[in-house]
Amino acid sequence: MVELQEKLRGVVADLLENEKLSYVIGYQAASFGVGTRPLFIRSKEDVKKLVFSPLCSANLVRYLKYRKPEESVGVVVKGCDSRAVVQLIQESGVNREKVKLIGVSCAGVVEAEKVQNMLPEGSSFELVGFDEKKLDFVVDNKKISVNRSEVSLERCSCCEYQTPVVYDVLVGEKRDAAEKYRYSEVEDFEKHSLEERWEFWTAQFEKCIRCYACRNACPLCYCPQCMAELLEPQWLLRSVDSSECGGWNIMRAMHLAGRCIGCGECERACPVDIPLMLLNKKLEKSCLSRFDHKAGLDPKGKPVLAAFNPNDPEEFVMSGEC
Amino acid sequence: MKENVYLPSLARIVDIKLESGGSRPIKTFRLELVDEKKKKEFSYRAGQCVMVGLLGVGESMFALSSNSMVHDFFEVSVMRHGKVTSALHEAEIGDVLSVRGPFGNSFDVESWKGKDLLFVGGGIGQAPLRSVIGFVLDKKNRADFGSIDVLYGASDEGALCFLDELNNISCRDDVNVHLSVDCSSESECQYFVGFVPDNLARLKPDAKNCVAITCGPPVMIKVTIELLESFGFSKDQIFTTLEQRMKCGVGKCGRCNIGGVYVCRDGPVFSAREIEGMQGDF
Amino acid sequence: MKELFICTKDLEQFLNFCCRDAKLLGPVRDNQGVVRFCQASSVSELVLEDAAKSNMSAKKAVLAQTEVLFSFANGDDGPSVSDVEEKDRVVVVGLRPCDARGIWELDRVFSENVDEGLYARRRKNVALIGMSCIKPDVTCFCSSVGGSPGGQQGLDLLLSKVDDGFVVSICSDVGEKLVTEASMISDALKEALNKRDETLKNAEESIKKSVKTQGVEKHLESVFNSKYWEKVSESCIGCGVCTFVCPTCYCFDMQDESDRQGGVRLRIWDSCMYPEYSVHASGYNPRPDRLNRLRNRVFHKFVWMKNEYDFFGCTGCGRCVRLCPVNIDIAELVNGCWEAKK
Repeated sequence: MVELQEKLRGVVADLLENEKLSYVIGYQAASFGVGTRPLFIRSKEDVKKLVFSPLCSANLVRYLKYRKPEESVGVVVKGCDSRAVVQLIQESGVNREKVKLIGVSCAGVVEAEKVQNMLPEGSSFELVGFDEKKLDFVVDNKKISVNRSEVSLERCSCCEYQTPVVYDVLVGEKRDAAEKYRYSEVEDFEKHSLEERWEFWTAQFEKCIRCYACRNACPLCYCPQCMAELLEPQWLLRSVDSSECGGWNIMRAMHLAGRCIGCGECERACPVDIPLMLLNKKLEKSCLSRFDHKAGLDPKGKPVLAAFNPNDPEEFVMSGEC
Repeated sequence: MKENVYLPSLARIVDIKLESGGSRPIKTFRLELVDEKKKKEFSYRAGQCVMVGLLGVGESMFALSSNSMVHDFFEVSVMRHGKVTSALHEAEIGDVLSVRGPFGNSFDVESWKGKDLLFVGGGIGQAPLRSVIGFVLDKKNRADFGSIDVLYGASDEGALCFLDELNNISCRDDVNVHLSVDCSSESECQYFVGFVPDNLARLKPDAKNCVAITCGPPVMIKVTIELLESFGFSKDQIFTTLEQRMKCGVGKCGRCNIGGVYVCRDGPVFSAREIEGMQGDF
Repeated sequence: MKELFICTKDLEQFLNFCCRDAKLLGPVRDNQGVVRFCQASSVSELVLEDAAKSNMSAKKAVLAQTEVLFSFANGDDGPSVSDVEEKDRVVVVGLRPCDARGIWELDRVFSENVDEGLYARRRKNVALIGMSCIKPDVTCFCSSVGGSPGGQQGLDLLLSKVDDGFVVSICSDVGEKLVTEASMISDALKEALNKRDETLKNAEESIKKSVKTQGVEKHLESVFNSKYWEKVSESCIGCGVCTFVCPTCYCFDMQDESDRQGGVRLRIWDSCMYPEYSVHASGYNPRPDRLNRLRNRVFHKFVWMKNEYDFFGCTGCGRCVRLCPVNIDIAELVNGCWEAKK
């Protein structure tokens, strides 16, 4: 669907000129292999570099916090990305009028490294087309296709919002939710005993190097000073061991409870492959079952932990006379 | 086994003086090294710094503010700001602190002999200047230098440090003291009301055969250097001591650098000429 | 330097001999298939074929992520401090020349100008047995920054795979001692040496990425104030992954951790890419924007370290290029500076 890319380029070029945007944030080819990376578009030359394909995994919404107050900017958003914008609107973290959202329908992103491993060695790689089932490449003038199912990201296979929930312009056809049940992985894991689950997570947190890539990659972690950096009071010791790292990861997951929109950038950024989305999705499932709430859907809504409803479950409050 | 540069010595607080109060109080701590041998061997030059801290809390870098000619004790003047300085401000006489150092370079007082000296200090920046002022006014050294002017200012009367000492010095006839406050709450202020550079401009300093030494907030240092140059001082006649966030004190942890220069190791004393040559953010 | 040979079938026995009574570190494949640099209980756990590149460098063998600087106690007579003991013997097997060169650079950084002492205490008990790189990947550029697929700097022994075994190059006295005590090593034959040379030559020629580094330290100084840095730092998210996976990044924090009885002062890896890295107690930040921090990092590696030690603070391992979540490519960045407007 190279036409999707062409259409997107046209839309961005128009917006850049007509809306007098300072820049539009999109994607371009990575410096190696088949992946992509962020692109700040300011000119016609820049527009020519813009790409869109299932390899565009980054959530560009995290750059909105760097927008200068006087700037109007545009940003390309997929379904999950657009929910991050809505969540920011709910938290008064973004000035909607200064941001133009270019929504793109997304059937899921793929893991660039997995794709790379399935392609032969070569010096030039070009993605010439893609559809629901496959990605078509030309590697050193030879055509080769990769099955999408073998390289797609787990979290995309159960995505409920493949069409952006908020946008100023939409590129691509509207899409329904993906078919897979969203919480099957979480429910499988829940079947393990408490000891088994604790052992699993202890081993995972042993790998953590407290680089905070998860935090910086997240569009909803925008605190000017993170609780992990504070010394007065000090919530987390800075020494790197399984206990403190466990504290860090669990605290961050809790800070995102009811706010995480499931883009999975934290997991993608993690250099030691901790399955952070498993933690985040567990809390997402809790929030849904307890408060019937999903993050980042209603721009007029309130963040779930900042809103009170008399029907909120209260089984932790003792019933009976005080 | 190679010597561990991070292993501190222990020093006892023998006196504490509250220099100024307010939201950012300043206290001068007089310290004596606990180990007798280390106490005898400890020496430093004006401009150098020491890492002082509390075991269990952490350490921070402070300029030595006492006269280096005195060997029984040494002093640091601490403004309460964050975790370590707040804990230090809670300490009492008799408490034991961790000390490492001295670190860094010092003021090249040898090359100043025969010259007039002009000190321009602002706020807590007066602390390192106090050390070199103490040195040049010491009876063994005073005759080596020409006229000495000490300009010092703070945000208001309550924020002025070392006031007793400065008042004593101002009674001497071989040194002139000019105090100022940025703004005054008094109806009739005994000091010049205005910023330190404004007080300096009023003085119309003579650059001939003069060395200027300044220290204060980064903005004040920049403005003062420019002002001195407008009065004919060359960049080689102006010295300052810079501050950065420091941890290791020996140029390894990588955080206090301005370009390729580590302030803890290659500084903190620099001439305006050296600062001009620095390519970095500060 | 003497060149010896060991048959593939004898390799494990030799390596086990080298790391007896020592902690063994090297590349290990975890159950998700990812190659990690960590402790192994035996040589058979290590991934030695193709000199696999682990996500984290071998840096932690000489610079632990969390290290005790000294300990202190609150006794009845008042507080006291205790120095740290010397470290246990460690043998690293299977590190690539780019990682070994990183350690060689750190050796100089921690001992020159001021010898901080602690690094040396750990380092002298670490033996490094490296593997020649056979297949540089698309992000590698060691040959642009003073390294090579068969580089020996920092190593005690270098093993280079040939058809039926490995050429064993002795790179230091420690390496000499290791082979002298081993019986299964013989002199290397001419064919083995030729095959080794050919393999290394092929490896070096297959390096696709190159960086114009000749005189770059001078050129970078001339473009310090260029708008180029605004452009290249725009996509940086300040996550610090580059500094953590880098073999030569060494910035650290110092923190006390204690209870009423006493505690320790620790050295912990830190990153100059974090905003609060250099912030003053007053709140003043000399490097307030991502531009300042990214430029500071590039200049530290390619200008200031070059000026001080005459090597670049980069070994071209390519980890930061591969693992940066937004693919900020330091090789591309340095190449681009030649076109930057002053």
